[in-house]
Amino acid sequence: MTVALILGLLALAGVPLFVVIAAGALWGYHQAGIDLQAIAIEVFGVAEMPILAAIPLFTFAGYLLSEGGAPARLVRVSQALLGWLPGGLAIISLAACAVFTAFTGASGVTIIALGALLYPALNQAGYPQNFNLGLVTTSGSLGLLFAPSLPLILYGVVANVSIDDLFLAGVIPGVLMIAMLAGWSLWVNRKSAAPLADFSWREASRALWESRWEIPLPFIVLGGIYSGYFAVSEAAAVTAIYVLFVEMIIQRQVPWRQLPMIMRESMVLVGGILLILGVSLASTNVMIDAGVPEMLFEATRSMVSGPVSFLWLLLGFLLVLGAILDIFSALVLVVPLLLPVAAGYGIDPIHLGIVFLAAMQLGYLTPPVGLNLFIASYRFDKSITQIYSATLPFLLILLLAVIIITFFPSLSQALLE
Amino acid sequence: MRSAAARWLGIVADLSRRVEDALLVVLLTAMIFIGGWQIFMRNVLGVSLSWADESQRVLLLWLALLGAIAASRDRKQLRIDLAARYLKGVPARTLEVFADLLTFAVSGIIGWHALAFVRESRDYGDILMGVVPAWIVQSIIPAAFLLIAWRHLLNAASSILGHPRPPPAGTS
Repeated sequence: MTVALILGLLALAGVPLFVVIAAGALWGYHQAGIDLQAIAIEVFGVAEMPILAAIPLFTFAGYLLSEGGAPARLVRVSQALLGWLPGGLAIISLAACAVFTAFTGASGVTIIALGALLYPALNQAGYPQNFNLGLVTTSGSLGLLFAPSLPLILYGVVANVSIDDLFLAGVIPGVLMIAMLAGWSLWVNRKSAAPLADFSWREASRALWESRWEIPLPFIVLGGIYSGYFAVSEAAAVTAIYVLFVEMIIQRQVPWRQLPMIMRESMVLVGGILLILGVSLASTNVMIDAGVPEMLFEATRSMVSGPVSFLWLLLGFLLVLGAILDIFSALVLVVPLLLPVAAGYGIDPIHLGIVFLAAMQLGYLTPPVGLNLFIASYRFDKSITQIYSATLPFLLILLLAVIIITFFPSLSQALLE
Repeated sequence: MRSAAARWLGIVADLSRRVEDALLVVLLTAMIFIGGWQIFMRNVLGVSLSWADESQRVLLLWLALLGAIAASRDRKQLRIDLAARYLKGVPARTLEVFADLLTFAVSGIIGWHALAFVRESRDYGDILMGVVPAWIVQSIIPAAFLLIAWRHLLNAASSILGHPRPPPAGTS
Protein backbone atom coordinates (compact mmCIF):
# COMPACT_ATOMS: atom_id res chain seq x y z
CA MET A 1 0.00 0.00 0.00
CA THR A 2 2.79 2.40 0.96
CA VAL A 3 4.63 1.44 -2.22
CA ALA A 4 1.55 2.16 -4.33
CA LEU A 5 1.17 5.52 -2.63
CA ILE A 6 4.79 6.47 -3.28
CA LEU A 7 4.49 5.40 -6.92
CA GLY A 8 1.31 7.45 -7.27
CA LEU A 9 3.06 10.51 -5.90
CA LEU A 10 6.01 9.99 -8.24
CA ALA A 11 3.60 9.82 -11.18
CA LEU A 12 1.88 13.02 -10.10
CA ALA A 13 5.26 14.71 -9.73
CA GLY A 14 5.84 14.18 -13.44
CA VAL A 15 8.19 11.20 -13.40
CA PRO A 16 7.80 9.43 -16.80
CA LEU A 17 5.13 6.77 -16.41
CA PHE A 18 7.30 3.94 -17.69
CA VAL A 19 9.73 4.69 -14.84
CA VAL A 20 6.99 4.62 -12.23
CA ILE A 21 5.66 1.31 -13.56
CA ALA A 22 9.13 -0.20 -13.94
CA ALA A 23 10.09 0.88 -10.43
CA GLY A 24 6.98 -0.89 -9.13
CA ALA A 25 7.88 -4.05 -11.05
CA LEU A 26 11.52 -3.96 -9.88
CA TRP A 27 10.37 -3.58 -6.30
CA GLY A 28 7.94 -6.48 -6.68
CA TYR A 29 10.59 -8.76 -8.19
CA HIS A 30 13.04 -7.79 -5.48
CA GLN A 31 10.48 -8.60 -2.75
CA ALA A 32 9.67 -11.95 -4.33
CA GLY A 33 13.37 -12.81 -4.70
CA ILE A 34 13.12 -12.95 -8.52
CA ASP A 35 16.16 -12.01 -10.59
CA LEU A 36 15.70 -8.51 -12.02
CA GLN A 37 16.56 -9.89 -15.46
CA ALA A 38 12.90 -10.88 -15.53
CA ILE A 39 11.95 -7.35 -16.52
CA ALA A 40 14.08 -7.59 -19.68
CA ILE A 41 12.36 -10.87 -20.51
CA GLU A 42 8.97 -9.21 -20.10
CA VAL A 43 9.99 -6.30 -22.36
CA PHE A 44 11.06 -8.87 -24.93
CA GLY A 45 7.45 -10.10 -24.71
CA VAL A 46 6.51 -7.10 -26.85
CA ALA A 47 8.09 -9.06 -29.70
CA GLU A 48 5.74 -11.96 -29.06
CA MET A 49 2.49 -10.21 -29.95
CA PRO A 50 2.14 -10.14 -33.75
CA ILE A 51 -0.87 -7.84 -33.62
CA LEU A 52 1.24 -4.99 -32.19
CA ALA A 53 2.79 -4.44 -35.63
CA ALA A 54 -0.47 -2.66 -36.48
CA ILE A 55 0.37 0.16 -34.08
CA PRO A 56 3.43 1.72 -35.78
CA LEU A 57 1.93 1.16 -39.22
CA PHE A 58 -1.41 2.84 -38.53
CA THR A 59 0.25 5.64 -36.57
CA PHE A 60 2.67 6.40 -39.40
CA ALA A 61 -0.16 6.33 -41.96
CA GLY A 62 -2.17 8.74 -39.81
CA TYR A 63 0.75 11.16 -39.44
CA LEU A 64 1.45 11.08 -43.15
CA LEU A 65 -2.23 11.66 -44.03
CA SER A 66 -2.24 14.59 -41.67
CA GLU A 67 0.88 16.13 -43.24
CA GLY A 68 -0.31 15.44 -46.77
CA GLY A 69 -3.26 17.81 -46.63
CA ALA A 70 -5.90 15.11 -46.10
CA PRO A 71 -7.61 17.13 -43.33
CA ALA A 72 -8.28 20.06 -45.69
CA ARG A 73 -9.66 17.73 -48.36
CA LEU A 74 -11.81 15.95 -45.78
CA VAL A 75 -13.30 19.25 -44.63
CA ARG A 76 -13.96 20.34 -48.21
CA VAL A 77 -15.83 17.15 -49.04
CA SER A 78 -17.97 17.31 -45.91
CA GLN A 79 -18.66 21.00 -46.50
CA ALA A 80 -19.73 20.32 -50.08
CA LEU A 81 -22.01 17.48 -49.03
CA LEU A 82 -23.47 18.91 -45.81
CA GLY A 83 -22.99 22.68 -46.04
CA TRP A 84 -26.63 23.27 -47.03
CA LEU A 85 -27.90 21.74 -43.77
CA PRO A 86 -28.77 24.07 -40.86
CA GLY A 87 -25.98 23.53 -38.32
CA GLY A 88 -24.24 21.67 -41.11
CA LEU A 89 -20.76 22.99 -40.47
CA ALA A 90 -20.96 21.92 -36.83
CA ILE A 91 -21.98 18.42 -37.89
CA ILE A 92 -19.21 18.43 -40.49
CA SER A 93 -16.71 19.22 -37.76
CA LEU A 94 -17.92 16.33 -35.63
CA ALA A 95 -17.90 13.84 -38.48
CA ALA A 96 -14.59 14.91 -39.98
CA CYS A 97 -12.85 14.86 -36.60
CA ALA A 98 -14.25 11.43 -35.78
CA VAL A 99 -12.98 9.92 -39.04
CA PHE A 100 -9.63 11.58 -38.64
CA THR A 101 -9.19 10.54 -35.00
CA ALA A 102 -10.00 6.94 -35.86
CA PHE A 103 -6.99 6.96 -38.18
CA THR A 104 -4.59 8.99 -36.06
CA GLY A 105 -5.24 7.36 -32.72
CA ALA A 106 -6.53 10.07 -30.43
CA SER A 107 -3.22 11.63 -29.51
CA GLY A 108 -4.32 15.24 -29.67
CA VAL A 109 -3.22 15.56 -33.28
CA THR A 110 -6.84 16.05 -34.41
CA ILE A 111 -7.19 19.40 -32.66
CA ILE A 112 -3.92 20.57 -34.12
CA ALA A 113 -4.53 19.37 -37.68
CA LEU A 114 -8.30 19.77 -38.10
CA GLY A 115 -9.13 22.30 -35.42
CA ALA A 116 -6.91 24.81 -37.16
CA LEU A 117 -9.13 24.50 -40.25
CA LEU A 118 -12.51 24.16 -38.59
CA TYR A 119 -12.33 26.77 -35.86
CA PRO A 120 -11.85 29.78 -38.18
CA ALA A 121 -14.43 28.35 -40.59
CA LEU A 122 -16.99 28.02 -37.78
CA ASN A 123 -16.29 31.57 -36.59
CA GLN A 124 -16.63 32.89 -40.09
CA ALA A 125 -19.92 31.09 -40.58
CA GLY A 126 -21.31 33.05 -37.62
CA TYR A 127 -21.51 30.39 -34.93
CA PRO A 128 -20.94 31.74 -31.40
CA GLN A 129 -17.26 31.68 -30.45
CA ASN A 130 -17.60 29.69 -27.23
CA PHE A 131 -19.70 27.08 -29.00
CA ASN A 132 -16.95 26.73 -31.62
CA LEU A 133 -14.20 26.40 -29.03
CA GLY A 134 -16.16 23.75 -27.16
CA LEU A 135 -17.03 21.90 -30.33
CA VAL A 136 -13.48 21.78 -31.68
CA THR A 137 -12.01 20.79 -28.31
CA THR A 138 -14.57 18.02 -27.89
CA SER A 139 -14.14 16.74 -31.43
CA GLY A 140 -10.45 16.11 -30.79
CA SER A 141 -11.08 12.81 -29.07
CA LEU A 142 -14.30 11.85 -30.81
CA GLY A 143 -13.94 8.77 -32.96
CA LEU A 144 -11.67 6.66 -30.84
CA LEU A 145 -14.43 4.03 -30.80
CA PHE A 146 -14.12 3.66 -34.57
CA ALA A 147 -11.77 1.27 -36.36
CA PRO A 148 -8.84 1.30 -36.69
CA SER A 149 -8.18 3.53 -33.69
CA LEU A 150 -5.07 2.77 -31.68
CA PRO A 151 -6.82 2.54 -28.28
CA LEU A 152 -9.22 -0.10 -29.65
CA ILE A 153 -6.32 -2.18 -30.95
CA LEU A 154 -4.39 -1.77 -27.71
CA TYR A 155 -7.41 -2.85 -25.66
CA GLY A 156 -7.73 -5.94 -27.83
CA VAL A 157 -4.07 -6.77 -27.21
CA VAL A 158 -4.17 -6.20 -23.47
CA ALA A 159 -7.53 -7.88 -22.84
CA ASN A 160 -6.80 -10.65 -25.35
CA VAL A 161 -10.14 -10.29 -27.14
CA SER A 162 -10.85 -10.25 -30.87
CA ILE A 163 -9.96 -6.90 -32.41
CA ASP A 164 -12.36 -7.51 -35.29
CA ASP A 165 -15.18 -7.83 -32.73
CA LEU A 166 -14.06 -4.67 -30.95
CA PHE A 167 -14.13 -2.74 -34.22
CA LEU A 168 -17.75 -3.82 -34.74
CA ALA A 169 -18.72 -3.22 -31.11
CA GLY A 170 -17.53 0.40 -31.27
CA VAL A 171 -19.69 1.43 -34.21
CA ILE A 172 -23.10 2.04 -32.60
CA PRO A 173 -21.78 3.64 -29.37
CA GLY A 174 -19.51 5.88 -31.48
CA VAL A 175 -22.37 6.92 -33.74
CA LEU A 176 -24.55 7.58 -30.67
CA MET A 177 -21.95 10.00 -29.29
CA ILE A 178 -21.76 11.90 -32.57
CA ALA A 179 -25.54 11.95 -33.00
CA MET A 180 -26.09 13.37 -29.52
CA LEU A 181 -23.48 16.08 -30.05
CA ALA A 182 -24.94 16.87 -33.48
CA GLY A 183 -28.41 17.17 -31.97
CA TRP A 184 -27.09 19.57 -29.38
CA SER A 185 -25.33 21.62 -32.06
CA LEU A 186 -28.53 21.93 -34.05
CA TRP A 187 -30.50 22.91 -30.95
CA VAL A 188 -28.01 25.61 -29.87
CA ASN A 189 -27.90 27.14 -33.33
CA ARG A 190 -31.59 26.80 -34.15
CA LYS A 191 -31.99 30.59 -34.18
CA SER A 192 -28.55 31.52 -35.40
CA ALA A 193 -28.25 33.49 -38.57
CA ALA A 194 -25.41 31.37 -39.91
CA PRO A 195 -25.93 31.53 -43.66
CA LEU A 196 -26.41 28.25 -45.41
CA ALA A 197 -24.45 27.33 -48.46
CA ASP A 198 -26.47 26.20 -51.46
CA PHE A 199 -25.82 22.65 -52.41
CA SER A 200 -23.79 22.65 -55.58
CA TRP A 201 -23.30 19.52 -57.64
CA ARG A 202 -20.28 21.16 -59.19
CA GLU A 203 -18.51 21.82 -55.87
CA ALA A 204 -19.56 18.40 -54.52
CA SER A 205 -18.14 16.57 -57.50
CA ARG A 206 -14.96 18.67 -57.45
CA ALA A 207 -14.43 18.03 -53.74
CA LEU A 208 -15.10 14.34 -54.17
CA TRP A 209 -12.71 14.20 -57.10
CA GLU A 210 -10.00 15.92 -55.06
CA SER A 211 -10.42 13.31 -52.30
CA ARG A 212 -10.86 10.34 -54.63
CA TRP A 213 -7.74 8.68 -53.28
CA GLU A 214 -8.50 9.08 -49.58
CA ILE A 215 -12.19 8.15 -49.64
CA PRO A 216 -11.57 4.47 -50.49
CA LEU A 217 -9.19 4.06 -47.53
CA PRO A 218 -11.72 3.12 -44.81
CA PHE A 219 -13.34 0.69 -47.24
CA ILE A 220 -10.03 -0.92 -48.10
CA VAL A 221 -9.09 -1.33 -44.43
CA LEU A 222 -12.42 -2.55 -43.11
CA GLY A 223 -13.42 -4.38 -46.27
CA GLY A 224 -10.10 -6.23 -46.25
CA ILE A 225 -10.46 -7.25 -42.62
CA TYR A 226 -14.08 -8.37 -42.74
CA SER A 227 -13.81 -10.16 -46.06
CA GLY A 228 -10.96 -12.18 -44.60
CA TYR A 229 -8.33 -11.00 -47.09
CA PHE A 230 -6.05 -9.79 -44.34
CA ALA A 231 -5.62 -9.67 -40.57
CA VAL A 232 -5.62 -6.39 -38.63
CA SER A 233 -1.84 -6.05 -38.65
CA GLU A 234 -1.77 -6.74 -42.38
CA ALA A 235 -4.50 -4.17 -42.95
CA ALA A 236 -2.15 -1.74 -41.24
CA ALA A 237 0.64 -2.58 -43.69
CA VAL A 238 -1.75 -2.14 -46.62
CA THR A 239 -2.87 1.21 -45.21
CA ALA A 240 0.71 2.39 -44.79
CA ILE A 241 1.67 1.38 -48.34
CA TYR A 242 -1.49 2.90 -49.79
CA VAL A 243 -1.04 6.18 -47.91
CA LEU A 244 2.66 6.33 -48.85
CA PHE A 245 1.74 5.83 -52.49
CA VAL A 246 -1.13 8.36 -52.49
CA GLU A 247 0.56 11.12 -50.52
CA MET A 248 4.08 10.82 -51.90
CA ILE A 249 3.49 9.81 -55.51
CA ILE A 250 0.00 11.05 -56.41
CA GLN A 251 -0.81 14.07 -54.20
CA ARG A 252 2.82 15.09 -53.73
CA GLN A 253 2.12 17.71 -51.04
CA VAL A 254 4.81 16.27 -48.79
CA PRO A 255 8.40 16.71 -50.00
CA TRP A 256 10.42 13.48 -49.89
CA ARG A 257 13.04 14.96 -47.60
CA GLN A 258 10.31 15.53 -45.00
CA LEU A 259 9.32 11.86 -44.96
CA PRO A 260 12.06 10.68 -42.54
CA MET A 261 10.97 13.40 -40.10
CA ILE A 262 7.36 12.24 -40.27
CA MET A 263 8.44 8.64 -39.74
CA ARG A 264 10.51 9.64 -36.76
CA GLU A 265 7.77 11.79 -35.21
CA SER A 266 5.23 8.98 -35.46
CA MET A 267 7.69 6.50 -33.94
CA VAL A 268 8.27 8.79 -30.93
CA LEU A 269 4.60 8.34 -30.02
CA VAL A 270 4.74 4.60 -30.72
CA GLY A 271 7.93 4.21 -28.66
CA GLY A 272 6.40 6.08 -25.74
CA ILE A 273 3.32 3.84 -25.75
CA LEU A 274 5.07 0.51 -26.30
CA LEU A 275 7.75 1.21 -23.69
CA ILE A 276 4.95 1.58 -21.16
CA LEU A 277 3.33 -1.59 -22.49
CA GLY A 278 6.64 -3.46 -22.13
CA VAL A 279 7.29 -2.53 -18.52
CA SER A 280 3.63 -2.93 -17.60
CA LEU A 281 3.76 -6.55 -18.80
CA ALA A 282 6.21 -6.98 -15.91
CA SER A 283 4.25 -4.95 -13.37
CA THR A 284 1.02 -6.77 -14.26
CA ASN A 285 2.70 -10.09 -13.53
CA VAL A 286 3.96 -8.78 -10.22
CA MET A 287 0.48 -7.59 -9.27
CA ILE A 288 -1.17 -10.83 -10.35
CA ASP A 289 1.36 -12.87 -8.35
CA ALA A 290 0.66 -10.66 -5.36
CA GLY A 291 -3.06 -11.37 -5.76
CA VAL A 292 -4.01 -7.76 -6.45
CA PRO A 293 -7.01 -8.59 -8.73
CA GLU A 294 -8.53 -10.81 -6.01
CA MET A 295 -8.02 -8.09 -3.41
CA LEU A 296 -9.61 -5.55 -5.72
CA PHE A 297 -12.54 -7.85 -6.32
CA GLU A 298 -13.03 -8.39 -2.58
CA ALA A 299 -12.77 -4.68 -1.93
CA THR A 300 -15.28 -3.90 -4.68
CA ARG A 301 -17.67 -6.58 -3.47
CA SER A 302 -17.66 -5.08 -0.01
CA MET A 303 -18.76 -1.78 -1.58
CA VAL A 304 -21.17 -2.84 -4.30
CA SER A 305 -23.19 -5.98 -4.85
CA GLY A 306 -24.69 -6.12 -8.32
CA PRO A 307 -23.37 -5.38 -11.80
CA VAL A 308 -25.35 -2.13 -12.04
CA SER A 309 -23.80 -0.55 -8.99
CA PHE A 310 -20.42 -1.93 -10.07
CA LEU A 311 -20.77 -0.14 -13.42
CA TRP A 312 -21.55 3.14 -11.64
CA LEU A 313 -18.46 2.71 -9.49
CA LEU A 314 -16.44 1.84 -12.59
CA LEU A 315 -17.65 4.94 -14.44
CA GLY A 316 -16.69 7.21 -11.57
CA PHE A 317 -13.28 5.59 -11.34
CA LEU A 318 -12.67 5.85 -15.10
CA LEU A 319 -13.64 9.50 -15.24
CA VAL A 320 -11.08 10.34 -12.56
CA LEU A 321 -8.51 8.08 -14.18
CA GLY A 322 -9.10 9.60 -17.62
CA ALA A 323 -8.60 13.08 -16.27
CA ILE A 324 -5.12 12.34 -14.95
CA LEU A 325 -3.72 9.54 -17.10
CA ASP A 326 -3.41 9.32 -20.88
CA ILE A 327 -5.54 6.66 -22.49
CA PHE A 328 -2.64 4.40 -23.53
CA SER A 329 -1.05 4.18 -20.11
CA ALA A 330 -4.45 3.70 -18.50
CA LEU A 331 -5.19 0.85 -20.89
CA VAL A 332 -2.06 -1.17 -20.25
CA LEU A 333 -2.00 -0.51 -16.52
CA VAL A 334 -5.61 -0.79 -15.46
CA VAL A 335 -7.29 -3.17 -17.90
CA PRO A 336 -5.47 -6.33 -16.72
CA LEU A 337 -6.62 -5.62 -13.16
CA LEU A 338 -10.10 -4.59 -14.17
CA LEU A 339 -10.90 -7.60 -16.37
CA PRO A 340 -11.13 -10.26 -13.67
CA VAL A 341 -13.12 -7.95 -11.41
CA ALA A 342 -15.59 -7.11 -14.19
CA ALA A 343 -15.82 -10.78 -15.11
CA GLY A 344 -16.80 -11.47 -11.51
CA TYR A 345 -19.86 -9.27 -12.10
CA GLY A 346 -20.61 -11.00 -15.39
CA ILE A 347 -19.56 -8.11 -17.63
CA ASP A 348 -18.51 -9.05 -21.15
CA PRO A 349 -14.88 -8.05 -21.92
CA ILE A 350 -15.88 -6.47 -25.25
CA HIS A 351 -18.52 -4.34 -23.56
CA LEU A 352 -16.03 -3.46 -20.84
CA GLY A 353 -13.62 -2.26 -23.54
CA ILE A 354 -16.18 0.02 -25.14
CA VAL A 355 -17.21 1.45 -21.77
CA PHE A 356 -13.57 1.90 -20.81
CA LEU A 357 -12.67 3.79 -23.97
CA ALA A 358 -15.84 5.86 -24.03
CA ALA A 359 -15.26 6.96 -20.44
CA MET A 360 -11.58 7.61 -21.05
CA GLN A 361 -12.58 9.80 -23.99
CA LEU A 362 -14.39 12.03 -21.52
CA GLY A 363 -11.17 12.22 -19.54
CA TYR A 364 -9.61 14.23 -22.36
CA LEU A 365 -12.15 16.97 -21.59
CA THR A 366 -12.42 16.77 -17.83
CA PRO A 367 -11.08 19.78 -15.92
CA PRO A 368 -8.67 20.54 -14.49
CA VAL A 369 -6.16 18.45 -16.43
CA GLY A 370 -7.82 16.87 -19.50
CA LEU A 371 -5.24 16.86 -22.27
CA ASN A 372 -7.44 18.29 -25.02
CA LEU A 373 -8.29 21.30 -22.86
CA PHE A 374 -4.62 22.25 -22.77
CA ILE A 375 -3.97 21.53 -26.41
CA ALA A 376 -6.96 23.67 -27.38
CA SER A 377 -5.91 26.46 -25.03
CA TYR A 378 -2.45 26.42 -26.57
CA ARG A 379 -3.61 26.02 -30.17
CA PHE A 380 -6.34 28.68 -30.15
CA ASP A 381 -4.57 30.97 -27.70
CA LYS A 382 -7.47 31.13 -25.23
CA SER A 383 -7.31 31.01 -21.44
CA ILE A 384 -7.79 27.58 -19.97
CA THR A 385 -10.80 28.77 -17.96
CA GLN A 386 -12.55 29.94 -21.12
CA ILE A 387 -11.92 26.50 -22.62
CA TYR A 388 -13.35 24.85 -19.46
CA SER A 389 -16.61 26.77 -19.70
CA ALA A 390 -16.88 26.44 -23.49
CA THR A 391 -16.43 22.67 -23.29
CA LEU A 392 -18.74 22.05 -20.31
CA PRO A 393 -22.05 21.57 -22.20
CA PHE A 394 -20.39 19.14 -24.59
CA LEU A 395 -18.83 17.30 -21.67
CA LEU A 396 -22.25 16.87 -20.04
CA ILE A 397 -23.79 15.53 -23.25
CA LEU A 398 -20.96 13.06 -23.72
CA LEU A 399 -21.35 12.02 -20.10
CA LEU A 400 -24.99 11.21 -20.79
CA ALA A 401 -23.90 9.27 -23.89
CA VAL A 402 -21.36 7.29 -21.87
CA ILE A 403 -23.98 6.45 -19.26
CA ILE A 404 -26.31 5.18 -21.99
CA ILE A 405 -23.49 3.15 -23.57
CA THR A 406 -22.60 1.66 -20.19
CA PHE A 407 -26.06 0.54 -19.17
CA PHE A 408 -27.27 -0.66 -22.57
CA PRO A 409 -24.72 -3.35 -23.47
CA SER A 410 -26.95 -4.22 -26.42
CA LEU A 411 -25.53 -1.12 -28.16
CA SER A 412 -22.05 -2.62 -28.24
CA GLN A 413 -23.28 -6.17 -28.80
CA ALA A 414 -25.82 -5.50 -31.57
CA LEU A 415 -23.46 -5.83 -34.55
CA LEU A 416 -21.73 -8.85 -33.07
CA GLU A 417 -24.77 -11.08 -33.25
CA MET B 1 35.27 27.59 -22.71
CA ARG B 2 34.44 24.14 -23.98
CA SER B 3 36.85 21.43 -23.11
CA ALA B 4 37.96 18.83 -25.65
CA ALA B 5 35.93 16.25 -23.72
CA ALA B 6 32.75 18.28 -24.11
CA ARG B 7 33.41 18.68 -27.82
CA TRP B 8 33.90 14.95 -28.26
CA LEU B 9 30.75 14.30 -26.29
CA GLY B 10 28.90 16.60 -28.68
CA ILE B 11 30.23 14.74 -31.70
CA VAL B 12 29.31 11.36 -30.23
CA ALA B 13 25.82 12.58 -29.31
CA ASP B 14 25.29 13.94 -32.81
CA LEU B 15 26.50 10.73 -34.39
CA SER B 16 24.29 8.61 -32.16
CA ARG B 17 21.26 10.77 -33.01
CA ARG B 18 21.88 10.28 -36.73
CA VAL B 19 22.31 6.54 -36.34
CA GLU B 20 19.13 6.23 -34.24
CA ASP B 21 17.07 8.29 -36.68
CA ALA B 22 18.41 6.44 -39.71
CA LEU B 23 17.66 3.09 -38.08
CA LEU B 24 14.10 4.19 -37.28
CA VAL B 25 13.48 5.15 -40.91
CA VAL B 26 15.06 2.00 -42.35
CA LEU B 27 13.28 -0.36 -39.97
CA LEU B 28 9.86 1.26 -40.40
CA THR B 29 10.26 1.12 -44.18
CA ALA B 30 11.24 -2.54 -43.92
CA MET B 31 8.22 -3.26 -41.75
CA ILE B 32 5.84 -1.60 -44.21
CA PHE B 33 7.17 -3.45 -47.23
CA ILE B 34 7.61 -6.84 -45.61
CA GLY B 35 3.98 -6.58 -44.48
CA GLY B 36 2.86 -5.74 -48.01
CA TRP B 37 5.01 -8.45 -49.59
CA GLN B 38 3.59 -11.02 -47.23
CA ILE B 39 -0.01 -10.22 -48.21
CA PHE B 40 0.88 -10.20 -51.89
CA MET B 41 2.60 -13.59 -51.68
CA ARG B 42 -0.23 -15.19 -49.75
CA ASN B 43 -3.24 -13.78 -51.58
CA VAL B 44 -1.78 -13.76 -55.08
CA LEU B 45 0.75 -16.56 -55.17
CA GLY B 46 -0.61 -18.65 -52.34
CA VAL B 47 2.77 -18.83 -50.57
CA SER B 48 3.05 -18.10 -46.86
CA LEU B 49 6.36 -16.65 -45.71
CA SER B 50 7.38 -18.18 -42.42
CA TRP B 51 10.19 -15.70 -41.80
CA ALA B 52 7.98 -12.66 -42.39
CA ASP B 53 5.88 -12.96 -39.22
CA GLU B 54 8.91 -13.38 -37.03
CA SER B 55 10.78 -10.52 -38.68
CA GLN B 56 7.77 -8.21 -38.22
CA ARG B 57 7.78 -8.95 -34.50
CA VAL B 58 11.50 -8.32 -34.21
CA LEU B 59 11.17 -5.09 -36.20
CA LEU B 60 8.39 -4.01 -33.87
CA LEU B 61 10.58 -4.50 -30.79
CA TRP B 62 13.39 -2.48 -32.35
CA LEU B 63 11.07 0.28 -33.56
CA ALA B 64 9.40 0.51 -30.17
CA LEU B 65 12.68 0.83 -28.30
CA LEU B 66 14.32 3.17 -30.82
CA GLY B 67 11.16 5.28 -30.70
CA ALA B 68 11.43 5.27 -26.91
CA ILE B 69 15.03 6.51 -27.10
CA ALA B 70 13.90 9.27 -29.46
CA ALA B 71 11.06 10.13 -27.07
CA SER B 72 13.59 10.55 -24.27
CA ARG B 73 15.76 12.73 -26.49
CA ASP B 74 12.77 14.94 -27.33
CA ARG B 75 11.58 14.91 -23.69
CA LYS B 76 8.32 13.42 -24.89
CA GLN B 77 7.99 10.39 -22.63
CA LEU B 78 4.37 9.99 -21.58
CA ARG B 79 3.91 11.41 -18.10
CA ILE B 80 1.38 13.28 -16.01
CA ASP B 81 2.47 16.85 -16.50
CA LEU B 82 0.23 18.30 -13.83
CA ALA B 83 3.12 19.71 -11.82
CA ALA B 84 4.85 21.11 -14.89
CA ARG B 85 1.73 23.08 -15.75
CA TYR B 86 1.26 24.74 -12.40
CA LEU B 87 4.77 25.12 -11.05
CA LYS B 88 7.32 27.63 -12.25
CA GLY B 89 10.95 28.48 -11.49
CA VAL B 90 13.04 26.62 -8.97
CA PRO B 91 10.37 24.17 -7.67
CA ALA B 92 9.53 23.12 -11.23
CA ARG B 93 13.16 22.70 -12.13
CA THR B 94 13.88 20.72 -8.97
CA LEU B 95 11.09 18.30 -9.82
CA GLU B 96 12.39 17.96 -13.37
CA VAL B 97 15.90 17.18 -12.17
CA PHE B 98 14.49 14.68 -9.69
CA ALA B 99 12.38 12.99 -12.39
CA ASP B 100 15.35 12.82 -14.76
CA LEU B 101 17.66 11.39 -12.10
CA LEU B 102 15.10 8.77 -11.11
CA THR B 103 14.62 7.86 -14.77
CA PHE B 104 18.39 7.57 -15.09
CA ALA B 105 18.56 5.25 -12.09
CA VAL B 106 15.64 2.98 -13.00
CA SER B 107 16.57 2.73 -16.70
CA GLY B 108 20.16 2.11 -15.71
CA ILE B 109 19.17 -0.77 -13.43
CA ILE B 110 16.99 -2.31 -16.13
CA GLY B 111 19.73 -1.81 -18.74
CA TRP B 112 22.29 -3.48 -16.50
CA HIS B 113 20.11 -6.53 -15.84
CA ALA B 114 19.09 -6.67 -19.50
CA LEU B 115 22.80 -6.96 -20.34
CA ALA B 116 23.00 -10.03 -18.13
CA PHE B 117 19.90 -11.43 -19.85
CA VAL B 118 21.49 -10.95 -23.28
CA ARG B 119 24.76 -12.55 -22.12
CA GLU B 120 22.90 -15.63 -20.89
CA SER B 121 20.91 -15.78 -24.07
CA ARG B 122 24.16 -15.74 -26.07
CA ASP B 123 25.58 -18.62 -24.03
CA TYR B 124 22.33 -20.48 -24.63
CA GLY B 125 22.62 -20.05 -28.41
CA ASP B 126 18.99 -19.44 -29.48
CA ILE B 127 18.45 -18.74 -33.17
CA LEU B 128 15.63 -16.57 -34.63
CA MET B 129 14.32 -16.65 -38.21
CA GLY B 130 16.60 -19.59 -38.91
CA VAL B 131 19.79 -17.52 -39.13
CA VAL B 132 19.97 -14.68 -36.60
CA PRO B 133 21.27 -15.42 -33.09
CA ALA B 134 18.58 -14.31 -30.62
CA TRP B 135 21.03 -12.34 -28.50
CA ILE B 136 21.70 -9.91 -31.36
CA VAL B 137 17.99 -9.16 -31.63
CA GLN B 138 17.68 -8.88 -27.86
CA SER B 139 20.67 -6.59 -27.50
CA ILE B 140 18.44 -3.62 -28.36
CA ILE B 141 16.86 -3.98 -24.88
CA PRO B 142 19.96 -3.14 -22.79
CA ALA B 143 21.13 -0.68 -25.46
CA ALA B 144 17.84 1.21 -25.35
CA PHE B 145 17.55 1.35 -21.57
CA LEU B 146 21.17 2.41 -21.15
CA LEU B 147 20.79 5.13 -23.81
CA ILE B 148 17.57 6.33 -22.17
CA ALA B 149 19.39 6.44 -18.82
CA TRP B 150 22.23 8.39 -20.38
CA ARG B 151 19.81 10.79 -22.10
CA HIS B 152 18.03 11.61 -18.83
CA LEU B 153 21.33 12.13 -17.07
CA LEU B 154 22.13 14.73 -19.71
CA ASN B 155 18.64 16.24 -19.33
CA ALA B 156 19.19 16.53 -15.58
CA ALA B 157 22.54 18.20 -16.17
CA SER B 158 21.08 20.67 -18.62
CA SER B 159 18.19 21.48 -16.24
CA ILE B 160 20.68 22.13 -13.43
CA LEU B 161 22.64 24.39 -15.78
CA GLY B 162 19.43 26.31 -16.41
CA HIS B 163 18.06 25.16 -19.75
CA PRO B 164 14.36 24.64 -19.04
CA ARG B 165 12.17 21.94 -20.53
CA PRO B 166 10.01 23.07 -23.46
CA PRO B 167 6.36 23.79 -22.57
CA PRO B 168 4.23 20.65 -22.37
CA ALA B 169 0.94 21.76 -23.94
CA GLY B 170 0.31 21.19 -27.60
CA THR B 171 3.56 19.45 -28.21
CA SER B 172 2.01 16.15 -29.11
